[in-house]
Amino acid sequence: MLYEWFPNVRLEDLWTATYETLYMTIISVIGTLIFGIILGLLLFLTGKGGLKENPFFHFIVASFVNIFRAIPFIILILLLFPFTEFLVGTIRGPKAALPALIIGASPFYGRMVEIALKEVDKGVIEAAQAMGASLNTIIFKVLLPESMPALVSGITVTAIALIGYTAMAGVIGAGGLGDLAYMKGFQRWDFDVVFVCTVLIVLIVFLFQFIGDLISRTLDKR
Amino acid sequence: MIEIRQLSKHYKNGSNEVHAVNDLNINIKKGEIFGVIGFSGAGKSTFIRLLNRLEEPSTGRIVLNEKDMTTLSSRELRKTRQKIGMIFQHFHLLWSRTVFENISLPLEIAKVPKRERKQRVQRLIDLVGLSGKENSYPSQLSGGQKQRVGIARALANHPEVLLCDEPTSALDPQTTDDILELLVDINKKLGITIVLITHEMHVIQKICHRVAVMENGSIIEEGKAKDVFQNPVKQTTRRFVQQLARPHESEEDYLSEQMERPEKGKIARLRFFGGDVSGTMISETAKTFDIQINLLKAHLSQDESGVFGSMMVHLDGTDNEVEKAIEYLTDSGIDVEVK
Ligand SMILES: Nc1ncnc2c1ncn2[C@@H]1O[C@H](COP(=O)(O)OP(=O)(O)OP(=O)(O)O)[C@@H](O)[C@H]1O
Ligand SMILES: [Mg+2]
Repeated sequence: MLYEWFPNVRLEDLWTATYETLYMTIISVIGTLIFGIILGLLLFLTGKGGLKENPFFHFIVASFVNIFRAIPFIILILLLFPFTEFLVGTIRGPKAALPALIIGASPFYGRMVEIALKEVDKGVIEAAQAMGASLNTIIFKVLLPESMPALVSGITVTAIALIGYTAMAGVIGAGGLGDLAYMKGFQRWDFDVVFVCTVLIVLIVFLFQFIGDLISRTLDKR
Repeated sequence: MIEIRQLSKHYKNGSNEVHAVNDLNINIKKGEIFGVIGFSGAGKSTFIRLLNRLEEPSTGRIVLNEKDMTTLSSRELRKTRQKIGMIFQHFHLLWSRTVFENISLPLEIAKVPKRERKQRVQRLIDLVGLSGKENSYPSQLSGGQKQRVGIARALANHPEVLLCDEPTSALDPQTTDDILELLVDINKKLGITIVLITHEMHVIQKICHRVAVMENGSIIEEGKAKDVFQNPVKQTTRRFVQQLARPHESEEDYLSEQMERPEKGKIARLRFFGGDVSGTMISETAKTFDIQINLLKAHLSQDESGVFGSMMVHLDGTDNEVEKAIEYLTDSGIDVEVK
């Protein structure tokens, strides 16, 4: 039946492409999580009224974030080609997409982290200071745990944006479902392939959304 | 224990400067409960936050246990803060941690080993009366229970001083009394020095040994709680003393308006501010002068420092005798207001 309805779809290709999309998404989500939280913390701590208020440093980080957020993703990939080649050794395949994905999404997520941290009760931070907590302790025992539900829903939104980015990267040869839909589907005018790829991407988005919501809800004890 | 010298904190608000705390000099003794009372904006919160340097002083010194707080490096300050507990009006518990984990936080900060941490937290939970609530989250607790967690957390690392910033202002009267009793209990059992700020006279009356009245960043009256409130010198202090009786006074006023004017004698309100004045003053007065004293309504409460509150009476007798009785009552420290 599958053959009748989707004559051009090869299961093998589908499997590989899905795997590549998941690979790019998961690795870039992890990278974005790390760099985004670092950026968010820097923005929050050096910002106005922050624990390490520093207008100059804040300006530098904020400018970096704003500039990279302003560059459209597709252009960012092209712009980063030399850097990617230097770092990964190639500009093709899922691995080569990772630097652009992470650099594109981290500033975006970093802003969300900053907003999440601003929502943490000032009084609770002060209580920790009054107990003699160091900056490290405040970050790891107060700021991050107290903002966790917002951090999780932020990374969920970012992950879904990243799935979109992987498809875009696919068009210029990164692999994954976007690549499959474009190369095997669109270019050969086999729209059954495009359709199946679309369905799979939508399913992956739903999966991430579902997991993200579940974790965020379980963590929230407010 | 705590010596405060010429302590000031100024805020620059654009062009004008706010003197939130202005040249304070206070000595707080070991083991006492020291209260600071003042109306909103008096500078109470700023003052208590200066004590553990959550606020940096503009000038002045704070010497805590022979240690000059104002010159500590940030590392030493953190170490010292571990021995100063603090509780807050709005509790400031971590919603992401259970009761047990909240109380455990200061011990984690002080790097107490896990086994010992567990024992200590359990003991504290029993001390503040929260057994069975170990694994609840703050959102599942009442205000009073949250403050108990706050107190346990503040005591966890065996502090020498407990700073309380309006600890009962978010609580109802019954819960307020429970929390105050807990604080007295802790003060007696553990000998911890307590500095407490409030705008409620009732709180001072109930637990403080000494009190300072604060206004516009300065202390305008200071001394033993009962002395200060028995002989209030300043207008602000008087207003606080009246706070104790006030809730009932409208009721009494209503009563006196409804009553027919007596044929002779006077209707008067007597206010008691504690101290040596006791209820027996009334019968003594009746014996000394040729009058009868009819009690119309009374709202009195007695504690270790004497009788507080007010009563409405009909002083029945000749004008002359009534005048003398009023003078006698006034001289013995009772405020007499003739209606
Ligand atoms: N960060 C700040 N910047 C500027 N002014 C401040 C700041 N904090 C406090 N003030 C000012 O200092 C004064 C004292 O404030 P403080 O909070 O100590 O009063 P309080 O006695 O605790 O009042 P309340 O009972 O309302 O809490 C106020 O006039 C306030 O506006
Ligand atoms: Mg205050």
